[in-house]
Amino acid sequence: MLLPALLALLGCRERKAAEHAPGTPNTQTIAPAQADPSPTGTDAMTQTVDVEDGRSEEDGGVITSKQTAKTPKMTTTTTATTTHAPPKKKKS
Amino acid sequence: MTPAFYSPLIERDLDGAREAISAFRAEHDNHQLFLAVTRFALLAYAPSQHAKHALLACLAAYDLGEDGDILTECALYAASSRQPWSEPPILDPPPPSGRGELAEVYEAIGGRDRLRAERWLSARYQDQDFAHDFFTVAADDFEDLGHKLIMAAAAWRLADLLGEKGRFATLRVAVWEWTAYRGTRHYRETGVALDRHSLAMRLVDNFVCERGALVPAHALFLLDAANAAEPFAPEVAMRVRDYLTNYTNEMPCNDEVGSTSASLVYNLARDYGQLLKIHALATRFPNGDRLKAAAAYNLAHAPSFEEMSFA
Repeated sequence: MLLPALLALLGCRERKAAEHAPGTPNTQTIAPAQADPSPTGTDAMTQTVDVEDGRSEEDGGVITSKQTAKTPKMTTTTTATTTHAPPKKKKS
Repeated sequence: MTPAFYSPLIERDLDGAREAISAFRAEHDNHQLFLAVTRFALLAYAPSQHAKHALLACLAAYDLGEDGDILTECALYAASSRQPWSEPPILDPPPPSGRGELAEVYEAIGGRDRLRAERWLSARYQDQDFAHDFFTVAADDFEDLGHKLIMAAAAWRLADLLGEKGRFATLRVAVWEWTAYRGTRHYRETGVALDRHSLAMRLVDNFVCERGALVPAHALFLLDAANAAEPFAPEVAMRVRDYLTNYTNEMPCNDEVGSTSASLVYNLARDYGQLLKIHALATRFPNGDRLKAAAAYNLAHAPSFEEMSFA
């Protein structure tokens, strides 16, 4: 899985957890990456599928079920409401 | 290769691995431990996040003086992230392709044809002028936060450290990275590249402002890789600086991370070894203390990646 897709996945989880936890500050310490749209459609979802065949089964590659990825133990502890914007911004 | 050292690592027996590493350390110095651990991480490499960051962590440990406890964590990280082997990795290069032209490797990358790319590498890796083409290809796109160049720069350094015998297998790491995912963001340079120092200062500020987050960290790692490539391919370094200049902004902010610190002996999977790698990078970048503090803050506060299986 590519890092931007992974961060987006984590970002979604963080938001979902916050929705189900009354009183939990709606903050996150890692802002999900903004994936650039691409004409061939390699958005986060596609990348998640594609990367799994980065190694063939003959080479020992496995299909890693996303079900095995558990919710991270760490929870955000900051109480500030500021969400840091990703630094990426095209100027022109 | 000693079975007593490698067997528990291969079996992911982490307690057994600690014992084996301890026994190894009793009879060998830390450089020999670095070589043993890094060779294992190299064989365990796959273009998955944990596996490649385990290999990068080994290089960071080398840069920080080959501390035995840190190298132990690197070994455990590599073992934990290793994907199952159905057969031992092949170390010998495949038959070389015809002439090793650049068009051939670009086509292989476009088609995600790893074997074809390996045959290109086989044809070229012993050429005197290979480094230039190697880094040029690696900087063709910046997918996955620039890991194609980041891994290429690491592989190039490791190839020198690990010796000629494993040179192909070491450089192959880059080829596997290039062909593991499509790079659809062929970047066109715009001629706005900041100079090396100014860009470094900007990226350091961004990293601290983002409290050590993973995305601005990889902008730093990408610039570090570009700096490593510069002696061999100056236009590659310029291209990366142009890209990073375009895709980042000045982000002045208060230093919110204070003087946070953390031990470098930790479960590296938590942050993909970022704290360790930042400490190594800080030896080459300005404002090293701010970098280290932000990375420590991130380790303490950001979600852990340790249970993202094989990701």
